[in-house]
Amino acid sequence: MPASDDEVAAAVLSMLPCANATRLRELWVDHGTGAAALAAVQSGNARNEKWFPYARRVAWPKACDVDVMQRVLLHRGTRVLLPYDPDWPIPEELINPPALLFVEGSRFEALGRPTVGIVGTRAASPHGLADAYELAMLAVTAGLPVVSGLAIGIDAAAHRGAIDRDGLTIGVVATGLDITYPRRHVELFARVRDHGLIIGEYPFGVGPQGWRFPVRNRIIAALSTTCVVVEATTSGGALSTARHALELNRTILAMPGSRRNPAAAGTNALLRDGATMLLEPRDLFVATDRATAGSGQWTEPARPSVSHDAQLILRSLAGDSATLDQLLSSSGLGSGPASAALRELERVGRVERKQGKFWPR
Amino acid sequence: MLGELGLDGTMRHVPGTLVIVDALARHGVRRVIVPVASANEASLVRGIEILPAPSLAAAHACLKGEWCWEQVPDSISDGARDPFIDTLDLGEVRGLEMARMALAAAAAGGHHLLLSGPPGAGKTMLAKRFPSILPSLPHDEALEVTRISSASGRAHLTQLIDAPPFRAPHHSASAAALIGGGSNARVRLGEITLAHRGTLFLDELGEFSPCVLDALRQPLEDRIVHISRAGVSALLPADFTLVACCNPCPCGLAQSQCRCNEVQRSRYRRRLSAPLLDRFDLRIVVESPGSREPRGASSAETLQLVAHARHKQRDRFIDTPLRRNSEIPQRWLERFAPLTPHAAETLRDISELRNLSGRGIARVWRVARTLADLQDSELLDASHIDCASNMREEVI
Repeated sequence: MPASDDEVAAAVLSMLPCANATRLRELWVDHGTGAAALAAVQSGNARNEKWFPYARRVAWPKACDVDVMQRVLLHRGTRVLLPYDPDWPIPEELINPPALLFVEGSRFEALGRPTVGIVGTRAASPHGLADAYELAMLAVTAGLPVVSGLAIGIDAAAHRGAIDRDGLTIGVVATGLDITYPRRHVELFARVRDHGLIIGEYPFGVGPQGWRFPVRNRIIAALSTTCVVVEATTSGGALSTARHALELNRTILAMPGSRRNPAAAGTNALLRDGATMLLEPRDLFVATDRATAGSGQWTEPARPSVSHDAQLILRSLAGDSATLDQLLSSSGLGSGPASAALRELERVGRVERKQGKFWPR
Repeated sequence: MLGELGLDGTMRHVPGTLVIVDALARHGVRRVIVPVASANEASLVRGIEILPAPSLAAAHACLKGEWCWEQVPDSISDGARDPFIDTLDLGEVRGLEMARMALAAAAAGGHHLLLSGPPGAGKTMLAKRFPSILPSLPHDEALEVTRISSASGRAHLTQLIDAPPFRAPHHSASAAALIGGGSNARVRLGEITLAHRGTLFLDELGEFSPCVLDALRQPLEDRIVHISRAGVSALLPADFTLVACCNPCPCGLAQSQCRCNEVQRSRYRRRLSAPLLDRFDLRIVVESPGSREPRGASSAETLQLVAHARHKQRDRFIDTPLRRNSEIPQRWLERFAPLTPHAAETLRDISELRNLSGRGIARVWRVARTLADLQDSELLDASHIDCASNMREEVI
């Protein structure tokens, strides 16, 4: 389906160097539609003086061409949503809302449904990753699409959980939709396109810049009916998502963690400030009014009986991670028996090794 | 006759005297006239008569029988060690049982060792104590080391160097400094050749420039290095044990406390290429032990174990060119390091669990043999395999 003139005009305007969300929204308000706004800018009738230079054709950057944009949008299958569209997903209350949204993907039904935003730190612990993954699975099983930011860590785990359960998921990016950032998520981006949508407010060609990520977080907050923070550091972007969600009056859930885990400091602070505690899947469903739909439970780790040495190792781990050195001294086992016990635990999935440390599961 | 001739006819010392005299002896020369200053060094070579002379005139007179040759100063003694090394003892280190065991295995079997961990965990502390658990070199190896030392022309040698060399270049070292270089007619020995039969210690491995590290890959595999310059080419020995320390990420704090972003971390990971990391048989993650941990075995005790393990290896490899377990070719592992049935099953299990390649399996196998040697066990059992596999962590 070729893009409408409105969509093309809005996309072209957003690519002008002076374009930002405020000025573009001002144009929409003044002129009614994207196409009318483009005509006004081209004829020098725009109200803001920043648009005046573009009354002269020579001032336009080469890439800002209506015909080219038309073809690009058709080729990529990109839709451009504008605030006056009936399916504009951003609520009125959002402060400094985006002026337009670029949307790509195969499952447009993901918009306009109650959703769960699952966000957290990039430097997540294996426990946090497993929780995010499982939570996303439970959410899509209850019919709730999962919204996140396609970043490394918790975000990626949440998207993967939704995809692996064949559910819907929405990735909100802080770059142009033609840019894949982080690069290693090429495959994840493709899978999110297949299982849902990728959404961004920036035009094609905009690369990753640090300041755009916290700005992007307001869209994640706006798109999520409920916002879950799985693991967050005190200075991370996940807390800014939570703050935006709070301004929008969304329910915020957070998972508690040990004070010794820096990746749980942010979520613990949220809980103290009044966020809802997420201890079991029911908490999520109550928050989203899906108490009847969801009867999900955490997948209990299988508890096959293990040898005496292995039990000793598990007790020494005490739910925390440790190096082999630390395990040897706390369990009192020799290196041979301890290694054998760890191999046994690894095989039955009770222990995971990561960068030379052992994590209980 | 060998020496540098002064304008007044005196004979002066030349660097590399030992190498030249050794070569002469191998070619059947039975007597050589050397400067008095070089006599000590030349006399380290067995099977050749050294005739020291202070000047050309004196040598002439001696040859005519009108004068007699100088005496070779008698100062050959064994076992003199660098006093600095002797002050560092492994017994001062608390805990870190696995890391100690890996250190002993590296010393005994010649396996390359990588220690990774946050700052202050004790990586460098352990590595600095590595020389204290290395046994003295046997005569043939000591002669090789002394020859290299003589060729590098650093100092007048007065005795055989039987302490294994320990080279610790700073991380700003260039590829030529590490591998060797030079120009025109003169080859300069690199750190890897100076570390021959000893240890090359690279602290802060991640700070070395990536091309310098990748230049190490070939000598690590072949144990020799071929230097080629426009005017000269040379084949130099480079059989050393590599001991290296690194941080798990640029800020060093690792995992949850890490303050690095992904870009920094992936850049750091790229510096240490996978082929280089793969050449470390022993990769250990070190975390700071509590101050209540007991102190471990002292250097002297460990040295004894290492020396015994070396002895066992010498017996095993008699009539072969091999010296250490780390050198066993993959196809000879069955012959030199047979597994008990239980151990074979364990090795299969581990390779399946960790997705080990054929080369990875061989590396675990060799380390397991060394661990068994350290425990004075003829049998290579499952516990050794288990332990060895836990000494190959994904460190960064």
